[in-house]
Amino acid sequence: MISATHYLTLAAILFVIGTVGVITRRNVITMFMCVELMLNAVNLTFITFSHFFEPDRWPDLCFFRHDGGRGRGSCGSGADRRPFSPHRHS
Amino acid sequence: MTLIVCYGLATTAVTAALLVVLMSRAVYSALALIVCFGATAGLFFQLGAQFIAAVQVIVYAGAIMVLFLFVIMLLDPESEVFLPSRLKKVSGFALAFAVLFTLVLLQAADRWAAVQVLTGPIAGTERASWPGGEIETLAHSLFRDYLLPFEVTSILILVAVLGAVVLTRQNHEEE
Repeated sequence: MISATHYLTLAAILFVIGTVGVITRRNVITMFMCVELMLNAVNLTFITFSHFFEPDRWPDLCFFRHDGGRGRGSCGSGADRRPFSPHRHS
Repeated sequence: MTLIVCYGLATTAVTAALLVVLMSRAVYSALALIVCFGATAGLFFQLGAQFIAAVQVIVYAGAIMVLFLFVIMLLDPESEVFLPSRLKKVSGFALAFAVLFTLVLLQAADRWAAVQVLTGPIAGTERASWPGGEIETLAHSLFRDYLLPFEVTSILILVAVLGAVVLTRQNHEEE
C-alpha cells in the first residue's frame, strides 16, 4: 500500500537532489534545470496533499507553478545570454 | 500492479534526477530532466490529477524543455568552464543531506505520532467525482476563486519577458 509518506519522501529526495545541483553545479542553465527539479518536487507534494487531504478539490496551486516556470524560463534564456555573448563575438 | 508501477516511476524519477545533477554536459542533463518530468507526470496521473499530468507533459516536457535545448544549442554553455571549489561541493552535499535527513525525520515523527490520516490507501476510485466535469471545476476555481492570483502571474510573466529583453539589449549596447 502506498501512503502519502511514500510520495512525500520521494518529493523530499527529488527536492534534495535539485538542491545539490543548484549548489554544486556552476553552469547557469544546469542550475536552472535543478531549480525545475525542486519546483517539480514541490508540485508533487501539493498534489499528494490534495489527493490525501482534500480529495474533492483540485490542486489549484500547481497551475501557478506552471505559470512561474514559463516566466522564469523566458527570463532565464535572456539572462543566460549575458555572460556568454561577449566571448562569442570578440 | 499499482505498487509496481508506482515504484518503477519513483525509481525512474530519482535516477533521472541524479543524472541531471551528475551529467557533465548540459544537453544530457536536459534529456534526463525530460525523463524525470515524464515519470513525475505518471505519478500525478496515479494520484488522480490527470489534467495536471497532461499539462506537465505538454508544458514542461514540450515547451520548457525545448526552450532549454534551444538555449543550450545556441549559447554552448560548455564554453564556460567553471570548476566548483571543493569546499562548496562538500558544503553543498552536507547541507542537502541535512535537509533530507530533517525532512525524513519529520515524516517519521509524524508517523510515530500516529497521524494515521497520512497512511490512507491510495486508489484512483476513492476520489470524488466532480459535478460538471474536472476541467469545469478547475476553471471555476481558477477564474472565480483565484482570479486575482491568476492575473498576478500574468504580470510576473510580463516582468520576466521585459527582463529578458532588457538583459539582452544591455549586452548589445556594451558591444
